[in-house]
Amino acid sequence: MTSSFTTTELNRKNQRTETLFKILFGMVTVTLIIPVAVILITLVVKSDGIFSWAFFSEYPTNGMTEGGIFPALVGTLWLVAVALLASVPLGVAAAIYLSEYAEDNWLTRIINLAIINLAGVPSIVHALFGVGAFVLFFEFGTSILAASLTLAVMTLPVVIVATRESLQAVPQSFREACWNMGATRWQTIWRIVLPNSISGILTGVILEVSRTVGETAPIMFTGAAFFLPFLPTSVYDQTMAMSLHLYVISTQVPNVPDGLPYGVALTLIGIVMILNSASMAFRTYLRGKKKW
Amino acid sequence: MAVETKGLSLWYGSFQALFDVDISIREGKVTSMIGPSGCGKSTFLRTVNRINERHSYVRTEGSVKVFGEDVMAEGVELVQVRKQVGMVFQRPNALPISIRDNVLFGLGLHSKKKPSKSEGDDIVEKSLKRVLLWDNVKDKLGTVATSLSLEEQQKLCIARLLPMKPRVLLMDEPCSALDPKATAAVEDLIWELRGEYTILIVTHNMAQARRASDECIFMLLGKVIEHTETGEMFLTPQNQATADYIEGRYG
Repeated sequence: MTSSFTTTELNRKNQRTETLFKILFGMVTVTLIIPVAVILITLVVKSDGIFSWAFFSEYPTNGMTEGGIFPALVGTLWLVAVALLASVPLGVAAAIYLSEYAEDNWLTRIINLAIINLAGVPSIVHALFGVGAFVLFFEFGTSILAASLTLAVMTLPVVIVATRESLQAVPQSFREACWNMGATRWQTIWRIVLPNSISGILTGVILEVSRTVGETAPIMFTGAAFFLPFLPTSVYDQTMAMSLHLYVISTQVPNVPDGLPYGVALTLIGIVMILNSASMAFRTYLRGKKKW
Repeated sequence: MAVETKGLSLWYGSFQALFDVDISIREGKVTSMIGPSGCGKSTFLRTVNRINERHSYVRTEGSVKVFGEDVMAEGVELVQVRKQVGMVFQRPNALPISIRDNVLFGLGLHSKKKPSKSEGDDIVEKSLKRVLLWDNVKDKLGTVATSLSLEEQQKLCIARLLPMKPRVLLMDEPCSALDPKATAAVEDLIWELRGEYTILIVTHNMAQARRASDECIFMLLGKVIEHTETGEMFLTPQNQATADYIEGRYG
């Protein structure tokens, strides 16, 4: 049959190439899930029998080889909350300035460069900066305050970038509509820009939280303790923390039962995953309400 | 005169967009501005409420008077200029808030205390009736304005200027994003508003200029070529360039 629409040899060859790349890239993508799956399955299997109400509600006992993780959980909450109190207002304010007020000149370019570089600084360097700046110079001592501020500095770029991106996702025509009715920049930001970017900003904040929860280096010299038999009562106290606790029982304490570190690790990952899912669900919910 | 410019020149960086423009716009009339793209008509419009100046590379010379007062003078409050000289854009830019809040938005910017519920209702009804939108939206004032049709949004964009009691309305190709039926509806509305408001409208649509304006200004390369009563311009253009343009020989 010779019709002008018959498949040619070249068509077949292109089709084979098409299929090849589709399968190849598909397989690569699927492989990426394997590490995550392996980690999760290992943690779940090995931490079998560890979890109970007591695991979450009791202090570690017997040289941290028994008992629960209660003070570490509480400590992590403290660290994250104080870090948020510092980084969210600063980060959002900076992002608003950069997105809504700043002109494109050498100063804003330097600031942007600084933010990108700040995001690339290794966490151990942040830790040493925290010791120098907050523990020693400002004389906060090793405390929740010093540790949280270190975490805040480290996560500021995340907040700034996420906030700026969600501010810039608000169409310029909305701003112009406001300005042309005589609105000031601030009236425009407060009444229109922020309400329409809040979903993105909150997503950024939650992602920041999930990152903060897992950080170890920045807090180990600045405010987190190996073991404390009491809960912190103010930001000037030291505290235990989940991430450091995991490090300690995995490497520093002899005779820890096999399942314990896995249980702590699974709890830590669980917190992060719950937060990330919450952030995604929340974003989907707020996006659904948007009408543009 | 509602708007009067004398020797108005404007530069975008080193490019001169307006040359020594003298224009007088009569109060309560609809004046349309026509001319090929890049002739400076939108630039002129944007100079009247000084929104061109948002770009730091724009420089102007000459005077722009609105009801006898120079808006370029030192000490002029831009917020007051923008409030009294309202602007409607090509793309309807209703805000992503409720229809009611859109209408009351401008008022909220310029008054210290919020209008009471009944005052607000009153203003919303009056403004929406004025733009012939009330019957369509009276049962859904709480819905987000960006879900309205483009025609309705454009009418809303006009309605939300009215509570601020503007004296001049500038419209930059207000119908070019609309289909013919919606265009006709908005044109009717513009015609409706004349008398109470002075309206200056930039358009690429010759038929629209002819249908819906009292006076017509033809611009070319940043200069005013002709400014006469609309009927006269379309029947007996004085300048050859005007004649060529309105007959569609270029543009």
